[in-house]
Amino acid sequence: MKAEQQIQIQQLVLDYFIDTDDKTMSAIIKCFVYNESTKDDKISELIDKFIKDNGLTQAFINHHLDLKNTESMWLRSSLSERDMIDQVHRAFLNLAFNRFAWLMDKPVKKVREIKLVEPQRIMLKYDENDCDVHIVSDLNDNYCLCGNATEGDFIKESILNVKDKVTCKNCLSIVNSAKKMKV
Amino acid sequence: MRIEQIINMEVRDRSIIDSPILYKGEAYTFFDTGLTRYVFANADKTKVIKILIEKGEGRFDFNEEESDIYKNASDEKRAKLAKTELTYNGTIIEQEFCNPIKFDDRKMTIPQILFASSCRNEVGWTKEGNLVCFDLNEYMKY
Repeated sequence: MKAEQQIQIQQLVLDYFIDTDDKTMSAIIKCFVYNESTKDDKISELIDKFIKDNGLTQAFINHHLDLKNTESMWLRSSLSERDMIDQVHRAFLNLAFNRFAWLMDKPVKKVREIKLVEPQRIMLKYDENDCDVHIVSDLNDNYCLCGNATEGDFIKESILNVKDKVTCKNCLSIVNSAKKMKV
Repeated sequence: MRIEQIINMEVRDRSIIDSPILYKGEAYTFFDTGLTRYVFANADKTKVIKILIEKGEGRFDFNEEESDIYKNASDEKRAKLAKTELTYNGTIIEQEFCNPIKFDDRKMTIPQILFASSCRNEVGWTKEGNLVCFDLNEYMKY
């Protein structure tokens, strides 16, 4: 098969599955390209539809039977049918690579590691002047200075029972959500 | 093959490429060549004629074979073949013009690519936009 035709097949397969999500696509490739059976009716239907829509029924059946009967004296599929199925398989793998490359190119959100701390006690600093208590550090990396506090506002540091001592609503909500998370 | 034979072939090819042929009152110019035949097309690209490069005893007559294939084809098969007729006492094939895919970048669907591949890409587009096999000897052989 000519190189331009191979590229056309790849483009047609890419366009055909443009709206199919990655998980479904992965299952389709596993089943269609790697010949692994599936119990998912949706996957079977999608593959069946693709084969019918592209006039590949005869080629696919012949190719499949050839794969099953490897000791047969002759092949059921013609040269062009075998070539076409190979090219379609290659187009699916190309599609998988394209999805993978796209995922790799996407900006990845930095996942913060949650540090384990004692759920009832957290490190606090409080401002003696207005007696307001704010979280300043290390409940975990997600929780740092609250919106009301800035660095340098705090003069004292102690370990307190957060349930009783936190007065800032913002900080209290953070503490409560942290408790729910059981960090 | 002897050197003078090669020179003769080259001179013949060159003269054929350069000279138009008058057929049924219409001028046909060189369009393409295969292993066994020259192909000439008319000015408005509606018909081609195919002429054997060499004809003689012991040589296979591809024009006759092509004509037989078309005559004996079922209607369903004929729809995928370029309309073909043997004329001039069985010496010239007159065929509906179709632009071979090697000269036409038109996008094809998967069934069309499969069909082209099964005919060793000896297929082309008709005026109506159908993909047909023009080298009938190659039809669905591969």
